[in-house]
Amino acid sequence: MQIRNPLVVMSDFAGRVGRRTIEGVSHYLDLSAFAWRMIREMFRWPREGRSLLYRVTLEQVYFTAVQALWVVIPVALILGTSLIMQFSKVSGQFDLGKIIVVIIVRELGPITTALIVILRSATAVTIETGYMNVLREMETLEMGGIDPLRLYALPRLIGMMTAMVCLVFIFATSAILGGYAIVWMSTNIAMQNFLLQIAKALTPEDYIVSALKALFFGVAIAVVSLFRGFSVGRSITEVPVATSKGAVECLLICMVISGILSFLFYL
Amino acid sequence: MALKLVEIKGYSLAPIGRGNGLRNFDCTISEGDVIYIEGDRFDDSHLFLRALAALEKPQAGVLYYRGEALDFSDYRKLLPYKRKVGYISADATLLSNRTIGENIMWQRYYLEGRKSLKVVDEVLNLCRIFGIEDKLDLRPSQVFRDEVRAAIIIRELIKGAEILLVEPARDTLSRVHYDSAVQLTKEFLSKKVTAVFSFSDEAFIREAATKKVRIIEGKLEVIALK
Repeated sequence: MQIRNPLVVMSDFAGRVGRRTIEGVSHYLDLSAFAWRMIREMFRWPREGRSLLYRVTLEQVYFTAVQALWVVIPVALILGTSLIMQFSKVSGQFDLGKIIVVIIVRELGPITTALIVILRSATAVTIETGYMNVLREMETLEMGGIDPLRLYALPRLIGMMTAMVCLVFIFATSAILGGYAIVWMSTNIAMQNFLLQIAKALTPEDYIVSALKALFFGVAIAVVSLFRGFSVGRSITEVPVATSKGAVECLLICMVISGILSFLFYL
Repeated sequence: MALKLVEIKGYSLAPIGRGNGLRNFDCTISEGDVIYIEGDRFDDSHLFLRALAALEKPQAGVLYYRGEALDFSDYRKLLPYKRKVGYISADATLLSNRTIGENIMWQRYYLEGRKSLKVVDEVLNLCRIFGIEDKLDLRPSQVFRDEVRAAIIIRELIKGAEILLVEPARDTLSRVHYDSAVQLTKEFLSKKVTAVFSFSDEAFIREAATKKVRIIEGKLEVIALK
């Protein structure tokens, strides 16, 4: 067996670490530049193609929000029921309303909704964008004098932001009200003044944090999934790789955003 | 003297597929020119058409459109030029997530600011010629290649292009549709529209071509025919 020179091994290792670091930094710089460009495009809003833009945005809201309701509501009911049931048994020791608000409205609600949107829509957007790149459909849009970033990417960004805000609100409402109704109807657990406790526990900060998380999650999911899709070259085998990387990255970024916002507001 | 529409100077393009690429060539296309491309490799002829459509960034050289140099630094600066180019090539596609009808009307309605993508009568007539009037609600994956190609031809013909770039159609179009496509192209050219094509239809070349572009081993030369 040949023993490698330790200096060469060290140099290879340092080289690998350096390359990975540069690639990582470069990727996040590219991602930030793409996000900046999309957000700037959102505020530019020229007259040209506005009607079609509205139409495609509405379609996206329908795909991401309306079609996701049959997943979001059952998940919210299951989560809400089990949380309310378990915490109501220890409500003598804790403020049940406050616990439910912290867990559902501030933390679990937004991140669970984001997870559902990532699984349903972000993967779909990356696959669709990737295939359109491979099949030269983006070139087709360009040959029509249409900016793909404007007619294809922007409606997905606006649609996902809008959908996330609506879905987080629906998730929290279904989990709290639906969970409460199920527990009240199917168990003998004492639930005196539950809704009053929730109303007392909810502060304007909870609404703001929840809405901000939904908004930032929407931006992050749309930007990452589109960026990964646009990064696909000419080979169809790049599409599943981009989809898988995009989904994991979306989730990680959402968790970081959630942590930062919770830290900033509740420190 | 006809106005120079496109002027290419010192252009070099990297090879695609199994082609040689194109090295340091000049080419001028004036209003009303009908140019036939003849080459030793399809990939090089195709590359030339892609270059004219501003779909390939040159390694060197400048492309002038009506005297103004195209700026390849940002793809958005090329969009106004691309809008003026009808591109009926082997790699032209339809959007797979839209119906055939929406694909045909997409650009027109985007520019006109309409919400509806309903196919207008004038376009419906063209669809009848190609026999796709009953397929307008289907998506590209639900129709035959022949019909996809026909939809691409209609989309590009109604675009109001100043330059029409056309590549072999016979392999993807049935005989009837091929003749219709040639007839429509002739009608289109009678409006003094500039065209560059690479399909080898002897009769069409004799009748319409004013210049020939010959590409041999990556070298391009322009030969006047009329």
